[in-house]
Amino acid sequence: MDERGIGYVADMLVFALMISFASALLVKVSPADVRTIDDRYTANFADSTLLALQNATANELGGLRYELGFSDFTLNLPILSGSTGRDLGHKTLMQLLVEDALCNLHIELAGVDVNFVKISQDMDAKVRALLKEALDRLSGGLFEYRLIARTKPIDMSPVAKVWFETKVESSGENQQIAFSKTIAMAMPVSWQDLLSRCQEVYHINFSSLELEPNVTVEITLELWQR
Amino acid sequence: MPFTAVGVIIVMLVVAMVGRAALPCHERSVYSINGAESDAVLTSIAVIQNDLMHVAKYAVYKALWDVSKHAEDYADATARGRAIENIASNYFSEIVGELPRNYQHSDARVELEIPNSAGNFMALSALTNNPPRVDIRAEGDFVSADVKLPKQTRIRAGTWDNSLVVTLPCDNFDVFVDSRYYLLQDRMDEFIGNGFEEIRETWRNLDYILAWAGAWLSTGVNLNDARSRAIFELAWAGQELETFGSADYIATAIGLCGASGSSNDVLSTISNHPSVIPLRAVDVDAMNGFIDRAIGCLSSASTDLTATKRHLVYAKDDIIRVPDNAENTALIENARIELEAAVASISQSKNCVRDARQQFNQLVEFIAQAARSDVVMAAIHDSITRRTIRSDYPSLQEQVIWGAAGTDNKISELEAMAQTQLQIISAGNILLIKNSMPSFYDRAEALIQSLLSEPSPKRSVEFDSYAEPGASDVGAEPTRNTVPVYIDGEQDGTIGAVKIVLQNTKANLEKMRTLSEMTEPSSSELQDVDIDEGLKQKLGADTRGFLGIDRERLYELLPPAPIRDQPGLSVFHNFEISRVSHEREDPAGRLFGQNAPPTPIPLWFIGLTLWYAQWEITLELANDPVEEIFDFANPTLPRSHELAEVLGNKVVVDVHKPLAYRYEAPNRSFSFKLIIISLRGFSIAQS
Repeated sequence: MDERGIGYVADMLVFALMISFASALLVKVSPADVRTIDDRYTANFADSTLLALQNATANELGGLRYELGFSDFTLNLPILSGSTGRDLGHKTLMQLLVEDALCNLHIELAGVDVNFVKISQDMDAKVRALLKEALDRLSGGLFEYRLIARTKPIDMSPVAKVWFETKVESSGENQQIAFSKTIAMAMPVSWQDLLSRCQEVYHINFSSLELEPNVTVEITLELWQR
Repeated sequence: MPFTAVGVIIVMLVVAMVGRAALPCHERSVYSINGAESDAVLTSIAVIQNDLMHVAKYAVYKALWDVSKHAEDYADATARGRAIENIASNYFSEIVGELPRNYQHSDARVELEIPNSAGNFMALSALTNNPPRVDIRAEGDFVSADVKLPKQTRIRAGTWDNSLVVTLPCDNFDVFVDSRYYLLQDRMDEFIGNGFEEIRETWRNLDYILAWAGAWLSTGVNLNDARSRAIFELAWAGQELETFGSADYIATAIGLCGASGSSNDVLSTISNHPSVIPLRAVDVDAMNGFIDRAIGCLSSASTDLTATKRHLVYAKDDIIRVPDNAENTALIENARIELEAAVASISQSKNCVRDARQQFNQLVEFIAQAARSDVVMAAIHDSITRRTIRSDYPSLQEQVIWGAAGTDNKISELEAMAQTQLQIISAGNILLIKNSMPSFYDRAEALIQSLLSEPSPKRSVEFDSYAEPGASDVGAEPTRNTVPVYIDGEQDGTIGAVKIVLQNTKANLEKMRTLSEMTEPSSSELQDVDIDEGLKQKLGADTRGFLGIDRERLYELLPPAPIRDQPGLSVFHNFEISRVSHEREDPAGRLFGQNAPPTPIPLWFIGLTLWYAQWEITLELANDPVEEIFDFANPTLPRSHELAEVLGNKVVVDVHKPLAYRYEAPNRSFSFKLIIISLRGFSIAQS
C-alpha cells in the first residue's frame, strides 16, 4: 500500500472514530433523567406516606385494641379480667407510635433491662403490626421500606441507658436506600419527669446530663425500589 | 483528510445538538429536585401542625385529669372549665416554648416562630407575657379545644438553598379530645345534686319494707345496725347504677359481707321481700260508697217518717174538726186519706231501713272477698265482725244488725198502730174515732220522735289515748279518754243511732287513710326498691382478692367493667359508716323502752286498733364520701401509674388510662323517720 493509501485509511479511521464519538454523545443524551424522576417519585411517596401516617386513624385500618399484660405480675382478680383491654382505634398512627414509645421505654442498668413489668408489650406488637399493614398498603408493592421510631437515648453507659426504638420493615431484601426522611414528634412527657422516676426507683443521678426539655421521638422512613 | 474534516464537522454538530438538548433536561431535573424539596417543605409544615395539635391534646389530657381528679375543689362547672383552660394553657406553653428548639435540632430548615408580647419573633420560650390560650367546649360528651397561639405565630420552612421559603400562619387550631369529660361531669353533678337524697329514700323504703313485713307477717319488727348498713350500701349502689349505668359493686359486695357475714343473706332477704300493702291502698272509697248508700237509705227513711208525722197531724186535725155528734162519715174521709198516706210512708220507711241493712251486708261481703288475698282487708274484716278491741265494746256488725233490727221493729210497731187506727176510721164510728185518735197520735208521734232523734250514748267505755303520729303534742304520757256506745242491743236501734254509728265508721276509715298517707311511703315509691338483676349478679362475685388493695388506684388502671353497656362508665366509691342509731319516738317506746310494744290508736267504730311504732334512724359516715367515675369506654390518656413495690422500689409504668372524675363530698349524715302502722299488734326487737 502506498503512502496515499495509508493516509486514506487513517482518514477513514479518524472519521469512523469521530462518528462513533458523535453517536455516543447522541446516545447519552435522553429527553429526561430517569433517575431524577425516580428519586422525586420516591421522595414524594415518602412525604405522602408520612402525612398519611399522621392523619390516618387506626380504625381506618381495622382498628387497634391491645390488652394490658400481667403475666409478670400477680393479679389474681378474675372480676377485672374484662378491664385490661384498651381500644385506641380513633388515634392516628403517629400518635400511637409516640405513645408506644412512652409506654414501652427501655431502661437498662449495667446492660440489663430493669423494666420488670411490661404491661404494654402487647401495644408495641399491635402498633408494629398495624404500621406494617399500613405501609404495605400504602407502598402497594412498589417500594420496600423501613420505619424506625426512636428517642434520643439518655446514655450514661455502662451505668444506665434510657431509650426507645422500634422498627417496622418490609419483608423484601435490603438494597441501597433510595430515600430517607425523618420527622420529629413531641412525646407528652418531659425528660425531667421521666428521669425523676428512674432516679427515685433506681437511685441513679441523671442531674449531670444535659437534657433537652422535651422527649422527642424521631421517626425515620427509608424507602427503596423493588 | 476530507473524511476527518467531515467527521470534525459532524462531531461539532453533535456536540452543539447535545448541548442544546442537555439544557432543558438539566432544567427538568432541577425542576424535579425543586418540586421534591417543595413537597418536603410542605410535609415538614404539616408535621409541625400535627405535632402542635398532639401537644395541645396532651396538654388538655393532663388538665382534664388534674381538675377532674379534684372536682369538688371547684364551685361549679364554669369554674372547673376555667381551671381546665388555665392548666391546659400552662402545660401547652411549657411544651410549646421548647418546641422551636426541638424542631431546629431535628431539621434546620424548619422554624416555629412565636412572637412575644412586643411582637418580636423569638426562637425560644418566654411565652409568659403572651401565653397561648386553650378554650374548651363540649362536643357531645367529648371535649373540643380551641387553641390560640400568640398572634402572628407561624411555621417557616425553606429549602436548603433558601430558594423556596414557605411561611404559614399558625395561631389558631381546633383539637378534638377523646375523653368524655362532659358526660362524667354531668353524671356526677346529677349524683351529687340528687343522688344522696335518692339514696336516703331508697334506704328508707328498703328498711320500711323489711320492718313492714316483720309487723304484718308475725315475725316482729327487728331493727339492727348490720342490716341498716347493708341496706344503705345497696341503696348507694342502686343509685350509682341509676345515675352512671354501673356501680362500685366490688365495694358493695365487700360492704354487704362485712355487714352480715355474707352478701347473699342480705340480698336474698331484700330480693324476696313481700309486697307491701299500705293502708292507704285499702279501697276506703269503695267502703265509704256502701256506707254512704246506707246512710242515704236511712235519710230516706227519716224523710218518710217525717212525712208520716205530717200526715198524722193532718189526720188528727181533720178528726178534731169533726163534731162529736156528727153522723156523716164523709167528714172523716180526709182523715182516712191522710192515714192511708201515713201507712204508705211508714212502709216505705221500713223498706229504706232494710235497704240500709242490705248495703251494710254488701259492705261486709265486699271486705270478706278482699280479705282472701289481702292481709289488711282480712284484719278489717275481723275487726268489723268481732269484738277485737275490747269484749265490752260491740262490733260494728253487731251494732248495725241490732240497730237495723230495732229500727225495723219500731217502724213495724208504728205501722201496726197506724193500720189499726185506719181500720177504726174505715169502720165509720165517729165517736170511737174521735176518742182513739189523740192517744194514737201521741204514741205514734213519740215513736217517730224516738226513731228520728239524735241518740244519746247508752254508756261510755274508758281507754288510754296516746299521741298519734305527727301530733304536735309530743308528750308520751297517755290521757284518759272515753268513747260512747250508741247501740248496745236491739232495743237501742233507731234511725238516728244507726246513722251516727255509720257516720263514725266513715270517719274512722278516713282517719285510717289520713294516718297512712301521712306516714307510709306511697306504692310507687316502694316499687323502685327492687335490686337490679345485673347488679345482683355482680354482687355475688368473689371479692376476697381486693382485701388490702388500694382499689382506687387499681381502678385507675383496671376499672371494673360497667354493669350496663351505656354509657360505659366504671364507678368507685369510698365511705365508711361509723354509726347507725335507731331512736324510738312513739309514746309507748318513749315510755317503756326501745323494745316496748307499739303504741295503739283505737278506731272504735270500725273495731280496729292501729298499732304504730316510730323511729328516727340515723346513719353517720366516718369520713367525707368519695365518688369517682371512669370513662371505661375511652381509656385514652397516656399517664404514669405506680403499679407496685418490688424489693422496696416503686414500679412505675406508663399506660393508657380512662379519664377519672373524682368528687369528695362533704361529710353528712343520713336520717329518716320510720313509722310502721299495722292493724295487728307486733313485737319489736333492736340489736
